[in-house]
Formats: sequence, structure tokens, C-alpha cells
Amino acid sequence: MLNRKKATKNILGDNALLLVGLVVAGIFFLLDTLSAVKPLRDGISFLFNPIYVDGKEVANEVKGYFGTVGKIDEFRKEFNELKVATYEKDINNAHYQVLLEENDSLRKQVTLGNMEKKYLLGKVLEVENISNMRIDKGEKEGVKKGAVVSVGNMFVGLVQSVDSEGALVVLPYSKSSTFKVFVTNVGVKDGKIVEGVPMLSKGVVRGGGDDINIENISMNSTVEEGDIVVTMDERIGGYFVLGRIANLVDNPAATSKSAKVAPLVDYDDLMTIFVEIE
Amino acid sequence: MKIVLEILYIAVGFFLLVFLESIFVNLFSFRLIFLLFLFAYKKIDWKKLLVVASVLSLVMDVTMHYKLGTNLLMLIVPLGMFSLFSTFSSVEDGIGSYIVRFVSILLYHILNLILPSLLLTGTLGVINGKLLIYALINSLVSILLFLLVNYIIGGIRKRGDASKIRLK
Repeated sequence: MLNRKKATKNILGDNALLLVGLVVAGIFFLLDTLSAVKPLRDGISFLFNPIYVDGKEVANEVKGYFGTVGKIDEFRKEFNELKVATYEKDINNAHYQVLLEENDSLRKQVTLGNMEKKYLLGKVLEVENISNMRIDKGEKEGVKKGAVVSVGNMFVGLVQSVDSEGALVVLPYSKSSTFKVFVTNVGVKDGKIVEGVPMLSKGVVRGGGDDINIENISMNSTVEEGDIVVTMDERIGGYFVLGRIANLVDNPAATSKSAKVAPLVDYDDLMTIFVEIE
Repeated sequence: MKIVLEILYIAVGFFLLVFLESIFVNLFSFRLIFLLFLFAYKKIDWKKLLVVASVLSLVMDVTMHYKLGTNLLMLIVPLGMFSLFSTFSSVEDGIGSYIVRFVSILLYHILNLILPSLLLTGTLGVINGKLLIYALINSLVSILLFLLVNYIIGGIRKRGDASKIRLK
């Protein structure tokens, strides 16, 4: 009997929650139509809105993180596409650089003083220990042993051996490279020999493997560092600028002066060269 | 002193609940409050539950920019349906109880789609197949959570009983 009473009370209690809840909701709704509850809204908003916004931000961060993880495959694909695009751009850029260098070399060649000779444009395949250079032009294109290789009026080397597809050029650094030169201080502008070249001294250039030496400079000459070294060898057959005098050794006890030659062109950076074919 | 502490706990609980509700709503479009009330319904004193529900629904109405009373109404209507079902069959245990709870939660989620817009602008909110499927999935997840919580609490109770001396 007591239990049944208790159960009835309990059911009534639960139903009361629903009924009273409905009434309270109705009262809230009616109150909200009046502006009187604005301070209440403001107060609750002041207290709880920051918490709600913080929660929202945390949720957005978590959502963003999982969104990123979920799209990892898409990102990887995009990354690969971007990588390919970057490679394509690099290739285009490298191609442009090659064209630029070729254009620069051609301009130098066009401004040659001696236009009677014929030159063949070639590409450098490899530079070995700055002593030898492999080029992509050979017998098939008319390259012969002993041909002069240059860039404009700047001397690069002499063709040592030729096969049908390429040739080996001996650079001035090579120990097997020896030729006659003269030293001048004026008459060369931008690597081009102009009229009225004063010959300060003659000399002999020898490759040292990792440097170029000039010997037999006359003791009476006024050769200074920075003067221009120009070839005058019958094997070369013309005047080409080799480089500038550097580290001049002026020993009064010696019979001649010697120095190092700093080339005007960096052989390692050369890409385009010209081979004399006639 | 005890009352002060109780008020303090409730206040902290409110803040925590609002924070969690915000995370769940924004992360999974999942309402936590109804689940808690469904769990507490018939388990704690209805007057206390009403006070907590009223205050919490007020807070949620303000933070979500709803008309005051919207959240309370959304809590009361599915609870009423749950109560109605409970007069016909037992909702204390068994698979039937979970089906009834599932239907109540689903009704809550559907009301969540309709009621705020209806009370605010007088028009039914956006409701389409996709949202209904979301509501269905949310309800399923909710009932699974409910099941898990019941299982955990059941386990704790059993462990508590084990230490008691039983007289047959």
C-alpha cells in the first residue's frame, strides 16, 4: 500500500516536471517578447558567451586538424603536382639561362676584330680538372686538331684530339699547354683588341695544372699587375686575350720577370665556345 | 557551507557543460544536454532537475541567440514523449527502453532543426534528407553513448555491491 502511494507520487512528480517545464518555457517565451528581459540576456551573455566562443574555437581547431588529416591524400597529390610544376619551371629557367649565355657568347663573337675566319658554335660537355675541355663538335662538323677555341677575342684553348662526334680541347691551365704571348697595358677594351697595342714585353705562358704561369718577361719592361696577356703564337695564328698579369715576381737577381695569369673567362662556367674551322 | 559548495559546484558545472556543449555542437552537430537530461530523468528530484534545466536552457538560448524557452521546450517535448511511452511499457531496462530513448533523441534532434527557426522567425527551419540522416546518425551515436554510460555505471554499482555483506 505504502509502495503504491510512493509510486503514484513519483509518477506525478515526473509528470509535474513536464507540465511545470512547459509552463516555464511558455513564461520564458512570453518574457522574451518584452524588452524587460534584455538585462538578463546581457548578463547571461556576458558570463557565458566567452565560454561558448572558446568552445567553438577549440572545436574549430580540432575540426581543422582532422580536416587536414582527412585531406592528406589530396594534399599529397597537390604537393606532387606543385613539385612537377616547379621542376618544369626550373627546366624552363635553365633553358632560358642557356639561351642567355649563348646569346652573350654570340654577341662577343660578333664583335670580333677579325671577321675573315669561320667559327663553329659548340657546347661544352665537360671540363676536366680545368686542364681539358670536352666539346660536342667533332670531325663531322669540320673540327680539326690544333683548331683554336675561343669566345669572342678571349682564348680558351687548342683542340688536342678529334673524333667524329666531339673533340678534346687543351686549356691554358694544362701542363702540356705552352705558347708565346706578349703583354700590353692598353689597346684592349672589354676583351677586344683595338688599334695601337703597345707591346710591353714578350713572354712564354705555361700551364701549371692549377694555375697559368708567364715567364721570360723582360727585366727592363714596365709590366705591371693587371696588364693584359695576348697570344702571339703561330699555332694560334692570331691575337687572343688570355688574361691579366697577377702576382708579378720582380727579382733583381733573376734574368727575367715571371708572373701568374688570371684568365678573363672562368673555364668552369663556360657553356658555349667557338671553334675556328677555316 | 555545504550549500555554498553545492552552488559553486553547480556554477562550475554550468560553465563546463556550456563549454562541452559548444565543442560538441560545433564539432559534430551533437547536443549533449538532452542526453544528460534523459539520463537524469526519473533518477534525481524533478524540482532540482527543472531548476537546472531552466537555467541551462536560458544560458543556451542566450548563447545560441534563440528565443528564451526554446531549449527548455526542446527538452520537455521529447521527455514528454518518453514519459508517455513509459506509461505503456517498461523503460527501465531491456532493448525496448533503448528504442524508446532512441526515438526521443531523434525527436529532439528533429525539433532542434525546426523549433529555433519556428519560434524566432515563424518559419520552419531547413529540413532535408541529408539533415534527417545526420539527425538519425546523431541519435544512434547518442544511444550508443547512453548504453556505454549505463554499462560503466552498472559496473561501478556491481563493484560497490561486492564489498557489501549479503544476508540471505
